[in-house]
Amino acid sequence: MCSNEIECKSALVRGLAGKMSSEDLVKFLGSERDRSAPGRPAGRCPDDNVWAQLAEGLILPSERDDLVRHIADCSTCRRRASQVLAESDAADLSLPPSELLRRVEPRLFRFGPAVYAMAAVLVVAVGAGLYWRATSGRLDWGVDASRFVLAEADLTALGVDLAQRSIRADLEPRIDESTYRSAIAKLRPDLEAAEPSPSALALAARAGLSARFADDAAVYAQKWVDQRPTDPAAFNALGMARYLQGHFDEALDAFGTAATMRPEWVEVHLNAALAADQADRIDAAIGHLGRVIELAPNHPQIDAMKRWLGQLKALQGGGR
Amino acid sequence: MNERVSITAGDDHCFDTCISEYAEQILSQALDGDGPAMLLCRRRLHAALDYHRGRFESAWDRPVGDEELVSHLRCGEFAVGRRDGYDLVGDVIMAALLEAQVDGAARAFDRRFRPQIDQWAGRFAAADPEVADDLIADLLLPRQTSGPRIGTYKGQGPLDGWLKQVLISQVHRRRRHRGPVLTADGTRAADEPGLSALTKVRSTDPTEEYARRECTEKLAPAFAGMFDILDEAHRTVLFMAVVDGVEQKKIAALFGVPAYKITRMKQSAIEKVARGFYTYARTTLRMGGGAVRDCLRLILERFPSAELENLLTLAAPGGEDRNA
Repeated sequence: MCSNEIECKSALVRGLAGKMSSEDLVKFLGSERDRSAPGRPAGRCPDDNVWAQLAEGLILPSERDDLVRHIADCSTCRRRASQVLAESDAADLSLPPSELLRRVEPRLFRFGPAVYAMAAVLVVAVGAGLYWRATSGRLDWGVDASRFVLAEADLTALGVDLAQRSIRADLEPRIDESTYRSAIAKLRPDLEAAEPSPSALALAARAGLSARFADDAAVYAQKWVDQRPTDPAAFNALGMARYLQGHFDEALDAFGTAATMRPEWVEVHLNAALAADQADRIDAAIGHLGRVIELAPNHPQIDAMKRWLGQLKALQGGGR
Repeated sequence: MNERVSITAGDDHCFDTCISEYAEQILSQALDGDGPAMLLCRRRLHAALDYHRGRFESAWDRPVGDEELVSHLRCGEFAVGRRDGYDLVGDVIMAALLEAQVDGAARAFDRRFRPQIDQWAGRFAAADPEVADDLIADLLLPRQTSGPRIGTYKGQGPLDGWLKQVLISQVHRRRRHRGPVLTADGTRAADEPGLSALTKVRSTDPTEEYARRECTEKLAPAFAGMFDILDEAHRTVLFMAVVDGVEQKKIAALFGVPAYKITRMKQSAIEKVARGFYTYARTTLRMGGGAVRDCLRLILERFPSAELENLLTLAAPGGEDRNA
C-alpha cells in the first residue's frame, strides 16, 4: 500500500510500464528524441508569414511539402506546426495529396527480361489465385481469406526471423488496409452480434494479423478465446497478436495454454519458444524449443533452431 | 473593421493615389506624395502583389494583370482559398505606414488590433500580463539592428493571422528566455524534463542510481536514432499524432488525404519504431525484452512528479483506444 502521492504514482507507473503498449513506448521514445536531439533540418525555419498561411489555409501544396520536409527533422518547428494545426479549423485546408506520399512510379519503356519473367509469374499466380478462390477460398461472408495468415501458423508467417528472433522490419503486411477493411465490413454484422460467431471472429483475427493491425487482432482473438475457451487455435491467434503488440509475457501465456491443449502441435511450441525468449524466460524457451526439435526433426529451419537452443543453454548456464 | 478605399492599380501613380486615400482615411491626414512613407508603401505593395501574382498565375495557368489581382485581393480571394470581406491591400498599406512610423498609424493600429491581441495574450500567456504590451512595442519600435518587426510582414496573408503567429513566437521566446523556474520547495527545477533531467535527479539508493544511470546511457542513443528508419512523411505523421496529440483529421487535411490513411501510416510507423527499438536492444545491446522493460521501468520511476503526470496520462487505460 503506498503512503503518499508520489509513491502511489510511482507504483502505478511501475505496474503500467509492465504492459506499455507500442504507442506509449513510441510516445516516450519520441518525447526523448525531441528533448535530446534538436535535429538537422532541411532549409531555414519558417517565419511567421508561413505559420500564418498554414493557419489561414493559404499555404500552397509545394510550400506544404517543403514545410513537411523541414519539420520532419526540426522538432521545434514540428511542435509549432502541430500547435498551428490544433488551433486551426481543418476544413480551412483543402490541399491536394502531398507529393511525399506518392510512390515512385516505374518509368515506361524500361522493360527487360526480368520484367517479362515477373509478368509471366504474375499471370500464372493470378490464374492460380482465381482458381483457388473459385474452388475453396471464399467463405460464407464472401471474404477472400486466401492471403490471410492462418490462426494455426507459427510466427515466421508474420515475418519473425528465427535467427534474430524479431520481426523483420522490411517485410510488408500480407494484406493492405483496404483489403482488411473490406473483410471486416463484410464480417461486421456477425462481429457486432450479441454473441459473435467464432468463425467470424477467427477470420477477423486472421485478417488483423495479416494486415499487422495487432491491436484489432488482439481484440478479435480475445473474443474468439472467450467464445471458444477450448480451441487451441484461438489461443495461438491471441498469442500471435500479443507478440505483435510486444506483450511477450501475455503471448507466452496464450501459447502455453494452446500447447497444453494440443501438446503435439509443433507451430505453437515454436511460437511459445519465441515469446519466452523475448520475455527472458530462458527455461520456458528451452523447453518449448526442445519440444519443437523433438517433434519436427526434419523442420526446414532445424539448423537455426539447434543453434538457437545452444545459445539459450549457454545463457542458462552463464546466468543472465 | 476594415477600411476600404477604391484602388485601381496599373501604375505607380494610381498606387500613390490609392495609398494616399487609404492613409487619409485611417490617419485623417494627407500623406506626403514624395516622402519616405509613400515610397515604402509602394515598395511593400509591389512586393505583396508580385508574390500573389505568382501564386494566381501558377494556379490559373495564365497571366494575371494588376487590376484583376487587386480586385481579388481586396475581396479576400487568394489563389488557394478565400476570406470573405477581407482586404489584403489595406493591410499591406497599414503595415507600411506603421513601419514608416507615420503619425497616427500606431493609434489606428491600436484601435483595430488591440482587442484581438489582448484576447490572444490572455489565451496563450495568461500568466504573463506584459506580453501584449511587449508585442506591440516589438512590432512598432525600431530594433537594435533592424527596423520595427512589422516590416517583416510580407502581405502573404491577413495581417491579423500574422500578428497572432508573431505573438505565439514571442510567447515561446519569452518562455525560453525566462529559464528554469523555482519549484515550491525552493529548489531549481530542471531546464528540460525527461532523461536529460534525470541525470540531475539522484536516487538515494546508490545501487538503484547506478542501474538507472546505466540504463539511461544504454538506451538514450536508441531514443534519438530510432525514428531515422522512417521517411519524412511517416516521421511527421507519427510525431504529430502520437507525441503532439494532433487530431488525425487535421493531419490528414495537411497531407491532403483521407483520415484513414493517416491512421494506417501512424500504425505502420509505430510498429516499425517499436520493433526497431526492441531489435536494437536485442542485437546491439544484447538485452532481452524483459531486461528492456525493466530498464524502462527503472527510468520511469525516477521521473519528476510533473513527468509522472504525463506518463500516467499516457499509460491510462483509455490510451489503447486511441489506436482505434
